[in-house]
Amino acid sequence: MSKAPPEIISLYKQDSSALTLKWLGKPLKPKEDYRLVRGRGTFVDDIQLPRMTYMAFLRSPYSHARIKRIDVSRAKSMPGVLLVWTGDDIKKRMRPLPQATPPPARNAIDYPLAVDKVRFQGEPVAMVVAESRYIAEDAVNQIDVDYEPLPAVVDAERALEPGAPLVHEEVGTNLIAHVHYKWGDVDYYFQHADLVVEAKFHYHRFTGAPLETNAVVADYDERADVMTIYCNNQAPMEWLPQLSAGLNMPYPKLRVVTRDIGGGFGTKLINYVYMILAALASKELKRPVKYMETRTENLQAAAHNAERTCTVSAAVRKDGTVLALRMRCVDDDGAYSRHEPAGMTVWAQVSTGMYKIRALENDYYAVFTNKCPSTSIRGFSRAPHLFMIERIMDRIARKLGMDPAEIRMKNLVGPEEMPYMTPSGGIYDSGNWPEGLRRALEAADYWGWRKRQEELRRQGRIIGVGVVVGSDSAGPNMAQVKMYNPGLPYTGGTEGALVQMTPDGKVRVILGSSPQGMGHETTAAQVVADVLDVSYDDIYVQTGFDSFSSVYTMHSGTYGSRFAPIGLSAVYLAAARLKEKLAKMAAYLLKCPEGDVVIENGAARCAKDPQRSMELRRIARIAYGNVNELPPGMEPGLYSLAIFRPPFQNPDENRRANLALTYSYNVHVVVVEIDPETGMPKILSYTALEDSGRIVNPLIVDGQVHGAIAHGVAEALYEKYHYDEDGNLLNPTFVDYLAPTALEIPDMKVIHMETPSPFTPTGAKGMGEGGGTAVQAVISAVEDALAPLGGELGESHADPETILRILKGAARGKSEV
Amino acid sequence: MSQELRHIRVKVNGQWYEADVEPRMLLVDLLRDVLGFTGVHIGCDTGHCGACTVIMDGRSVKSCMVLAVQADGSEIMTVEGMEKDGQLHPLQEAFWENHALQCGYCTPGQLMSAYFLLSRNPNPSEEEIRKAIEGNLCRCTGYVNIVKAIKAAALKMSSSKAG
Amino acid sequence: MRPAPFEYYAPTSLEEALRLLSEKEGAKLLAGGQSLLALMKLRLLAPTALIDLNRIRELRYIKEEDGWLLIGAMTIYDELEQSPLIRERYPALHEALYRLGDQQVRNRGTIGGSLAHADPSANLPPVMVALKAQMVAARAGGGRRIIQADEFFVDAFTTALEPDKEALVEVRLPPWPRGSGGAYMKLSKREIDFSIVEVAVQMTVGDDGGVKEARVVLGSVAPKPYRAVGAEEVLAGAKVDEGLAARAAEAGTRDLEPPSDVQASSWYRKEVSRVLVKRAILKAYARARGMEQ
Repeated sequence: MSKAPPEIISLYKQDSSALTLKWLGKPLKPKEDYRLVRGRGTFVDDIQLPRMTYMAFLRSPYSHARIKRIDVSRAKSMPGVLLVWTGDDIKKRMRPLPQATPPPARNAIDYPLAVDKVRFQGEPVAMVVAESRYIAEDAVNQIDVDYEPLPAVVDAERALEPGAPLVHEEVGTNLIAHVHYKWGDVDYYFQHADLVVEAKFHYHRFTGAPLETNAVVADYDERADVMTIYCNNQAPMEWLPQLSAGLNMPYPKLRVVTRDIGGGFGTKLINYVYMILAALASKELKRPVKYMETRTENLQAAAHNAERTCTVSAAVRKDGTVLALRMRCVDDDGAYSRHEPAGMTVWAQVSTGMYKIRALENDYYAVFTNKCPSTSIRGFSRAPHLFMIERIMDRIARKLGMDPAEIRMKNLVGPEEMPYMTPSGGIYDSGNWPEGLRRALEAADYWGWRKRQEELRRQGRIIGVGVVVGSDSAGPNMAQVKMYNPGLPYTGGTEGALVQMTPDGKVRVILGSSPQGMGHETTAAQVVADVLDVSYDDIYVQTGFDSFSSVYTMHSGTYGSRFAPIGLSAVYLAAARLKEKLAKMAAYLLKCPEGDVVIENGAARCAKDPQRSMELRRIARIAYGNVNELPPGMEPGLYSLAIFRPPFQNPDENRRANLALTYSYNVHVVVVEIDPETGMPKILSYTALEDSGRIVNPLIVDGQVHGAIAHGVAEALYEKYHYDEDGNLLNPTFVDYLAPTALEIPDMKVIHMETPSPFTPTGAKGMGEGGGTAVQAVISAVEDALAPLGGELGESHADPETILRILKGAARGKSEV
Repeated sequence: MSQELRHIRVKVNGQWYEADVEPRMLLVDLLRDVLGFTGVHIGCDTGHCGACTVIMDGRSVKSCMVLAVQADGSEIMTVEGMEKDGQLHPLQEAFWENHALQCGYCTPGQLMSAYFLLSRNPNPSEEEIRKAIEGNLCRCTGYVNIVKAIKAAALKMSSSKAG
Repeated sequence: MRPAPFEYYAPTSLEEALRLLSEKEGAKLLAGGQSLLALMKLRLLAPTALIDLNRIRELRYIKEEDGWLLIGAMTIYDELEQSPLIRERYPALHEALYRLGDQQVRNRGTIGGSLAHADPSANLPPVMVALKAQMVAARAGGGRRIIQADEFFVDAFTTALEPDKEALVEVRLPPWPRGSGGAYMKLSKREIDFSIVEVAVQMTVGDDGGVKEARVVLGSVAPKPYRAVGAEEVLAGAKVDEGLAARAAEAGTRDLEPPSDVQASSWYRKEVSRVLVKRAILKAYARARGMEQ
């Protein structure tokens, strides 16, 4: 579109004057790592409480079936079994889970245990609570269920056809929602294009598979009438309405706690169903109830990404300028819309990708099927969307005889247009993308590889080079869901923090986030250290989230790469306010004009008379205990609380809005070789450039880049769910769901650019999901390898058989799969 | 089906423990739930992920694939036993310095496999390191820093032996 | 995640173990447990009793006798993989072990357990058939018999051992004459996975370069190891080059009807079988001629 209007830029711009830049950017040893390398983390299953009991589930073997009869009598009578519940027992104790969808999908009846029918294989049907894990599993095997299998719907497009089996009869259709967005004069550009390039792409089904599965310990304290839920949910406060309604307990009586979490990747957003069930059981038994999901349960029934099939068309000028894009997509969201169909709007954060595309039309359908419910897996919705854009760019390049790097360079938004406003109202904060692309190409020796590729091809070797750009939009504006459900009262994207200097001069920080390994304790401490100029080692950050002590909003949590842009901004604000308070106290105590006080090296001093200084810990001691020394009227203590609120707005009548606070940028260059006889791909070289604004801790940033690349390589080459036509999941264990090992993930070269964000006080941008760039890059490279044979890859996953079929087909004259 | 509990003695991190267990009790459950070594983690149910790896009688094994009764009389080291008098083992130090972990869930298992590797191969190549941890899945780090850390630890441990 | 209850015995002598095997109905022998415990944890199997062989020291050994290599059934994979003798004399076996599972599996799993389990996708059975190994079966009361590898694997997860009566106690590898070499190849998506297709080739080549004897055996393509007899026939007496290896591979895999599963279709398995057989033949031949380490 164009550079963003100045009045919007000034609205978003943040002040960063409290930074000293003495502690930011340093590779300080992460605080969390010390306890974790010693095995002293506290993950949910590590929690042991007196008289604790254990929960296990009976799950549906069918993808779609009516429940005729459940006989729990044998299970109930087993020694050590305390409770056996089915959907009917749950129905008596809670109302159905509220739906975030518009009608008629809103009528979908959703309970944590199946009621009357099951809608996906692995759906929980009955729960057992027993004295030991072993007895609970034994009892589950003693429950008898009579099912009447129903025809299953497993293809999202066919689910929309008249006469298709209905996943939710009470909804009357399998369509969850349909949205149609049109920004800019799309029709004009398509009419006047030199050529139109069209393709159909499929983004396949996979999951994040964090090494720690979903787990919860619910502990009802009858004496205090308080329910404590130890969980590993990524956004516990977002589900507070469900928990509160389900348990019929007001928020002040509900304590939700996270400690260490063994990875999330988006899969731990919708595990609140287990939190509710464990809590209901705990309230009933008046004993703690623990549930730890098995890996099979996790792979089969926790959370999959939304599969997406798109027909993409691009209106192109013959010099390679891409003028407009059209996408018609169908999202397969599984059996319940517990987080979806938010994905139908979240992609709009990066609507036209990194390019100067002038107009965009998106026609999206979200559909129920008899598969595991979808939720936001790493790169949620932006990754599939950027996949479609990057893939069509490659196709356009090939059609025009341009190099894929050239066509990107031609279309990238330039630094002079930053902050840039997209046709959908998105505001990209900063970046020099063409420069980033140039540096990445150089670091990867891209042109050298193109030369080598020619030579090696002549020798009969099949080499492919892929170059892909991506945006890691971060810090979501939840109002995006208003784009399909205008009535939803959930908007903005905020986070809280508490920074306290304790009477001994140490600093205590409490966050609102629920980190799963992103190093929040470390980066928060670095920001506080930087603002206050006290030692990193004197700053203590509380682990995880606790609704009884954290400063939270209903957005609080760790998802959508929001901690760096939003969470750390709250930390900055709280630390900056504390600094002001310290300066005020110091001015009085040192008899120094307020403006002259400098806070530095753990002390306050008069700039004009350095002899007059006082260590911060002396000020702290006074602030809490010797309060008569404080200026009259000044409140004692050194607490500072802040909630950071980006200036997000709701979508306007044309559904335009800025949907994320910051936009990191990355470029990946991948070289692959394909074994011509077996189709086995091998990554020869992987180079990534990352610009995520000001780097708080390079160790943390690099770790996130490595991890995002590993997930992308995994998705492209190893991880794919296979459902058969009856909705049976064929690979629900780690035997056949192929999480890659150290032998499959290549070594990676990572280089950095730092273009600070003007929209966060620290200049840091969210990153870590990578925008799915790695998936794009690997697929791009594989397709590039097959291109001379006319081969094309339409999917986000390339396994050896698919590749070999293309190779053989090319030999026979057929080339597309 | 009645089963007799078996009385077993296991030495963990240098100390003997006794317990009465069902034959079907998994070693990982003995270590975690009965003896309190929660540093040993469970990540899967098919023996693939390696999060539960411990050293048993000198060899790295997946404690979820061993019955507690099979460990009767055995010596076991878990991650909790790596440090000595508050001093981290060089592998732990290297993992920290090289940020070879993020969520920390796979870390104890990685450390155990690395420990076993270095006990028989003090100077492993990158390929040998990757091979040695092929039974330890990580979802966060992409293995890059884990390999780096093990190399660094190997260097440190062999140089301090030489010195 | 956790197995159903069972009775448990940990005998310290082979005789005691065999006696328990014949007396306890529904009992299974527990070797390394890396396959059996996995199935029990998923509750796909629920034996009423386990007879643990791990405390029987007499079953763990590697020793030479008249040129044969004798391996106790309870010898763990790692000891075999680390053995310089095996590496030198039976490179195909070494490679199959190196590429088996992961280090933790190799520290517990046993050769006897693997062969008695007879998983159609396991690494070792095709190698045993290629090497013309012999399995020694024992029964309570001292009875012993030798079963040739060709006869040992009967069907998927089924061996020639008499159920509830016989246990595999030793594996005997015959000496192969001067001029012999072997190779093992495996194709899988991840290194730790069971193979989509695997091949073990063992051959003896004369000083003139002609193949005197060859055994070409595929795994993961049939319920039991598949002797690619067609390949062996093409190889007989021939000097091997790229073209001949390809012809042998074509002949050896022509009649294959491999299964389809979530990892690969029958078509892909057949395609790749041909490729792997060709490559394994070339490698085994080079080794037999002393042209490769």
